Amino acid sequence: MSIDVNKSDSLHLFLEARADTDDAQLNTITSRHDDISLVSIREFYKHAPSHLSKPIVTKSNKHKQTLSRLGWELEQRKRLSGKLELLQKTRDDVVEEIGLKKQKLQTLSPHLQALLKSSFPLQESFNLPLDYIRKQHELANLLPRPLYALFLQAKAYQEACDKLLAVTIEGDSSVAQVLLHRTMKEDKKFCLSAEGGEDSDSDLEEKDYQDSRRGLKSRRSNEQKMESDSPVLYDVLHCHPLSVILNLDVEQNGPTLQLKFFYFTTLNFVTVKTCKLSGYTSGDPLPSSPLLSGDNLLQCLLPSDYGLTCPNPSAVYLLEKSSLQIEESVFEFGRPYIWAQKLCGLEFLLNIEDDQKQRSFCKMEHAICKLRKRVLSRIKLAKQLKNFSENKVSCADKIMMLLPKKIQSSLAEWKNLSFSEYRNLPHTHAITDLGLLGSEKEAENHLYFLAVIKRGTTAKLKAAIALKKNYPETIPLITLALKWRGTKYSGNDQNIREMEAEVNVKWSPIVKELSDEILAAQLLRLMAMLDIYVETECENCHLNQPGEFSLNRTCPRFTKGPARLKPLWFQKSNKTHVHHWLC
Amino acid sequence: MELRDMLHVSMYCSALSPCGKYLAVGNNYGYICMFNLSSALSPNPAERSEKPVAVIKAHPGPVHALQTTQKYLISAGEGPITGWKWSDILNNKPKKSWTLDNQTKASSTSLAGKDTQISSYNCLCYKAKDDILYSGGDDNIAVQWDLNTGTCVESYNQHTEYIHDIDLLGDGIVTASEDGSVKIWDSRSNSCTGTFLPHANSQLNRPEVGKWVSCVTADPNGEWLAFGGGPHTSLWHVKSSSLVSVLDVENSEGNDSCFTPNTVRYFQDEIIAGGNQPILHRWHVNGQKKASTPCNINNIFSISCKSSDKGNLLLPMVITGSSWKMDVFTNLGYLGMTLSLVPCCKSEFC
Repeated sequence: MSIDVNKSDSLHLFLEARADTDDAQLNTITSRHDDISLVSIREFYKHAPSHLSKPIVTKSNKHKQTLSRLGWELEQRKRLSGKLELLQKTRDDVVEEIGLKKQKLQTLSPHLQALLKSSFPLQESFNLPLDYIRKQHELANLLPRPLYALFLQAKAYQEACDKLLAVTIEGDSSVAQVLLHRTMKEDKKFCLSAEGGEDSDSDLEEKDYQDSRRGLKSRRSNEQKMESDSPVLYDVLHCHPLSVILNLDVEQNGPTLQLKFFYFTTLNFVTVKTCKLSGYTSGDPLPSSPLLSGDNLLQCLLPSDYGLTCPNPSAVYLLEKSSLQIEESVFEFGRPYIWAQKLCGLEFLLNIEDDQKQRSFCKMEHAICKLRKRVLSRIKLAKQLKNFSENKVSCADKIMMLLPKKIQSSLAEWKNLSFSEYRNLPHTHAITDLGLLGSEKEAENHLYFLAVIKRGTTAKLKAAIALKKNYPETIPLITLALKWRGTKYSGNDQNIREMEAEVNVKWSPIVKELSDEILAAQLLRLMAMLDIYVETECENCHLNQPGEFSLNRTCPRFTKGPARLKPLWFQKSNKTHVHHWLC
Repeated sequence: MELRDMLHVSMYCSALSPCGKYLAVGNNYGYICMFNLSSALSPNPAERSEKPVAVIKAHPGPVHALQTTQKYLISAGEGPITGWKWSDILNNKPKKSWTLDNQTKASSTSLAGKDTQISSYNCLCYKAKDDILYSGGDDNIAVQWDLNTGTCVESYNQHTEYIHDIDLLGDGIVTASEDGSVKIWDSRSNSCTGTFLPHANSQLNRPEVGKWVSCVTADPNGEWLAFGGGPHTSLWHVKSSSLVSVLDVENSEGNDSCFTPNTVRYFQDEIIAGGNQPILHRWHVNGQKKASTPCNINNIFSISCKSSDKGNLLLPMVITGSSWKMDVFTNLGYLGMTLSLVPCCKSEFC
C-alpha cells in the first residue's frame, strides 16, 4: 500500500515538475504542492547539489527556490523508489525461496516418518528403545510418589548395575493424568489455605468463594466433569491406575520373576503381586510346585513379614470404618509386604524388633539380591521335594562326607500336610506351645510335610517337618516319632529328643553354608541316626536272642551322660560314631 | 539360646543356694541359669519374678551335675569341674573361681593311646564336714577331691563303665554305674567294700530294658540304699547286702514303657524317684508305695531341695528334666508352680 501511495505521489510530482519547467504554464496554472512535505530550507541547501539548488538565483526568488526544492525532492524520491523496487524484488525472491524450501520440507516429513518406522526394528535389535523410553518417562511422571520412587530406584539400579532386571510401567495413562491434575489442584488449594492462615475468617470466606466458583466451573470443564463422574477416585480401596512391573531374571538364561506393584491411593500403601515365574533352570523346565507360586516367593523376606496385615496403621482405621476386610478387598492386587513399603519409601511406625535388618531393604540392591536368592532356593527346594516324593534323597558331596558311607535306612514315604493335619499329629504340640511357628494365622502359611524313614521292615521313623516361609533362613523344624518296639518320641525317649536337637539345632551351624540343601541333609542325617539308634539298641539289649539289626560300626562308647545318649555323631576323621560333645 | 533350643532343652541338674533363695539349673547346652526362687514363689504378685537372674555358659557340652557348698556352686559336665562363687553370681559377675582336673588321669588316657579327650563328669556329692567333693565321670573312676587344696586325694577305679550317680554313705561313698553295678567304697581303706548287681537278681532284672544303674541314694544314717535303672528300683540293707523291697510302680494306663528312674532321693521320711514318666514316685522308707504326684516334665533328671544346717532336707522341692519347664513343689501332694526358661529366652538371649 505505502509503496503505491509513494508511487502516485512521485508521479504526481513528476508531472508537476514538468509543468513547472514551462514558464508560461507556470503562470497560468496555479499549482500548489500542499500535501508534499519538503525538507527544510537549511537542509535543502546543505544536501542538494548546487546545479539543482542554484543558491544564487533561488535565495532571492522564493518561487524558484520552491521549484528547485521540489526538484530536489523529486530527485530524492526517484532514488528511493528505485531502491524500493530493488528491495521488493529481493523480498519476492526470498518468499519464493521460502516457499520452495517449505515444499521440500513437507515432502521430507513422510520420508522421515518412514525412516523412523523402519528404524524401530533396528532400535529394538540394537537394544535402543529410545521411543519406548520416552513414553515410559512420560508415564513415570504420572506415577504416584511411592511408585515413582520405586521406578526411579529400580531404573537407576538396572542401568547402573543389573542388566537382568527390567522395569516397566503399565496402566491407563489418561486416567492417571486426570488423577494427577486433581491431586495437583488439591495440593495447590492446600498451599493457598496454608498461606493465608493468619486471618481465618476471611480465609474461610475465600475458600467458600473458591469452592463455589469451582463448582460452577466443573460443570463446564471437561476435566473436572470426569472427576465428579468417577466416584471410584474417592473410594477407600482405590488403586492407582498405573502399576510398576519388575521383570527379574534370576540368573543368566534363568527363570524370570515378574512382580507387579500397585499403589492404594487412599490407604496409602503398596501391594506386590507375583504374576509369574517362567523360564528354565539350567536347561530344565521349572518344576510345577505350589512352592513357586505367588506368595510363597515373597513372604518373610523380612522377619515375620507375611503380608497379611495392613502396614499403614492409619489405613487399618479406614478399613475398619468402611467395614472392609483386608484379605477380601486388597489381596487380589497382591499383598502389602513391609519390604515393598520400604522399597517405595513408605515408612510407617511399626512394631519392629530388628530395625537394622529391615533398613537394608531400603536399598534396591539388597531387595533384588534377596529376591533372587529366594527364588533360586525355592526352585532348588521344589526339585528336592519332587525327588523326595519319588523317595530319592541326595545331597552335595560336602554333606555326604559328614555322614557314614553306608546308610541303610531309606525314605519310604513323603507327603504334604496341612497345618491342621500337622497340628493334630501326636507329638507336635510342644512346637505350637512354644510359639515356634508364630501366631495361628502365620502358622497356616508355613509348609508341612510328613516323611517316613524305614529301617528294615519294622523300624518306622515318622518325621513331621515344618518348613517356615523364611526357609532357608530358618531351617526346617523336625519332630520325630519312632514306631519300633513301642512308640518313641521326644517325650519318652531322650535319644529321639537328642536326634531332634541334632537336626534342628546342633547340625545347623555346620551345614549352614549349604543351606539350600538343608532339608535333604537333615533327612540323610536322620537316616544315619536311625541306623545308629536301632543298631545300638539291639546291641544294648541283653536278651539272649540275635539282634534284629547288627552293628558293624565303630562306637567307642554306646551311651553317655545321665540321659544315656547314643553316639549319634559321625566323626569322619577316624570313621567312628561318637557323642557330639567329644568332637 | 534361642527359642528353638528350648524345644530340645534338657535340664539335667539343679541346685539351691545355701540360703535356699536361689535356684541354679544346668542344661544340655552347657548353660547354668539362676532363678530367684523366693521371688518366684512370692505370694505378692508385684514381687513375683520368674526371669532368670543370671545365665552362665559354664561348659562346652552339657552340664550334668550341680552341687552347692556354703560358698560355691560347683558344676560338672564336659571339661573340668568348675567352682563358682555364689557371691559373684549374685552380684551379676559370674566367673570361674577354680577348676578341678585330674592330672594323673589325663596322662593315663594318653598312655592308653586315645586322643586327648576332654574329661567329662556325670555326678557330684559333697561332704561338708571335711570339705571333700566326690565326683564320678566318664572314665569309670570316682574321685575324691580336697576342696581346700584343689587336689585329687583318692580315686576309686573298679567300675567298667561310666559312673551315673554317687552319694555319701557313712564314711565312704556309693556309686552307681552303667556297668550294672553299685559299689560301696570305704574312705579309710580306700577300697571297694561291697558290690550290688541288681540285674543279677531275678526279681529286679529287666533284660529288655538293660542292666545299667542310673541313680543311687543312701539314707542319712548309712543303713539303707535305694537304686534303680534298667533293673527295677529297689531298697537294700547295706550291712546284710540284702534286698529289702522292690520299689513298685503301678503302670498307668496307656503307658507301655516301664518306669526307669533317673534320680532317686531320700527326703525326710520317704524315698522319691523321678524318671521317664511325668510322675514323681514316692515310697515309705520301708518300701511301701506312698503316692505318685503328677508333674509337667516327661523325663525327670533332677530333684533338688534345700538342706537345713542340721542336714535335714526342706521344701520347696524343684524338679527339672527334659523340658523348658521346671516344677516347684511346696507340698509333695500336688504340683505347686511351674517355672519356665522361655520368657528368659525372649528377654535375655536373643
